[in-house]
Amino acid sequence: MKPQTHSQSTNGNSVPSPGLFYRLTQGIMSPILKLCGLSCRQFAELAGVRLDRPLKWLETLRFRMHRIMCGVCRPLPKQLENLQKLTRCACENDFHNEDAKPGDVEASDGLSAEAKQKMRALLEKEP
Amino acid sequence: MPLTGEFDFFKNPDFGEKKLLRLPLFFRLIVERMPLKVAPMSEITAEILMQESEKLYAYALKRIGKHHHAQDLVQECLLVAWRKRDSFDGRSTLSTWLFGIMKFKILDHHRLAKRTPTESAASGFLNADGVEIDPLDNLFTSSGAWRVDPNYGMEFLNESPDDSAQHSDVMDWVRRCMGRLPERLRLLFQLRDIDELPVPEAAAAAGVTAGSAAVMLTRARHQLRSCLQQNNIKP
Repeated sequence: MKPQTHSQSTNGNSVPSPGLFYRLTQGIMSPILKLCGLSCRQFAELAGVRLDRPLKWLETLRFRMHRIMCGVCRPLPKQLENLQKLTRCACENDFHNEDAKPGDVEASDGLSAEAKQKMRALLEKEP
Repeated sequence: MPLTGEFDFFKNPDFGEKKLLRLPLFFRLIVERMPLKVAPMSEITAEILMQESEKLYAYALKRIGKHHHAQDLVQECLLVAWRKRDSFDGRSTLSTWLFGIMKFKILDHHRLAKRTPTESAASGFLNADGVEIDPLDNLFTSSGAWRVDPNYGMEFLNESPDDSAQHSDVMDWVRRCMGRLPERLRLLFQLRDIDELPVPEAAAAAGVTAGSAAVMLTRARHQLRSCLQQNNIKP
C-alpha cells in the first residue's frame, strides 16, 4: 500500500480511510474487479455520467452489479444527485434572500451611483 | 377558545383551508366560487426597476465574475423589462420576473462570447507544474479502490436537499468550493447544473469539445464532493 498522503487536505482536515473489512477485501479483489469494469472508481465515474445522459445497457449492468456488491459506494449516486440540487439552490436562493453572503467571487461594493444614474437616464429616454 | 369559530366568519374573514372546512357545504361552495379581487398591479416605473438593480447585479457578478460585463447585463436586462413592462402580469413577483430575464441574458452572454474549443489540458485541473491531473486519482488507488471513506462527513448530502439548503453554512461552502474549480470547468459546470442546459449546448457555450465535456463534468462533480468532504461541514 502507498502512504496515504493524498487524503491530507490543504485545510488540515483529513478524511479517514474506509473500514478494515473494505480494505482487506479490496486488497484481494480490486485488480480483478478493475478488469471486469466493476471497481469503485469506475462506479464513481458512472454515477457522475448518469446525471448527464442515460447509461448504455452494459454500463447499467456494471452500475447495478457494483451497487449490489459494495456497501461503501451505495450512497454515492444519491449524494451526487443531492449535490446537483444543492448547487442549483446555492446560486438561486440567494437571489431571493436579502441577507445572503457572496461566495469567493471578487469583492465589490455593488453598482456605483454613476452607473445607476446612467441606467436611469436610459430608461427614461425610452418611451 | 369559543366554539363559535364558524360563525365568526363575517367578523373575521379567513380564507385559510381549516376555517373553510368548518363552514357548511353550501356556504363553502359559494365562498370558493367568489371571484377574488386582486389589487391591480401598480404601474412599473423606472424607480421600481432601479430598486431591483442591486440584486440583479450581485447575481450577474456571481455568475460572470467580470465587473463591467455584469453592469452591461443589468442594463440590458432592465431595458428589456422596461420595454416589455406591459406584458408583465402580477402572477409572479417582479423580482422573479426580472430574474428569469437575467438568466436568459447570462446564457446569451456565454453563447455570444464564442470561446474557441481548446484542448482539455487548458481547461482541466492543473497541478503546480502545469501538468493536467485527474482529481479522481487522489480519491482512488491505482487498482480503483477508495483511498478515503466516501461516506465520512457526508450526512448532509444524504438527507433531502431541501433540508440541507436551510443551513447557510452548507450553502456557503458549496459556493466556496465551486469557486475553487478551474475557470473553464466552473463555467461548464454552472451551465450544465444550474442553467440545466443539455451537455452539447453547455459544452459549446463553455468552449469545450463535447467529448471532453462529459469527462470534465464528472471530474468537477467529484472534486466538488471531495472538497465539501475535506472541509468537514457539520450543519
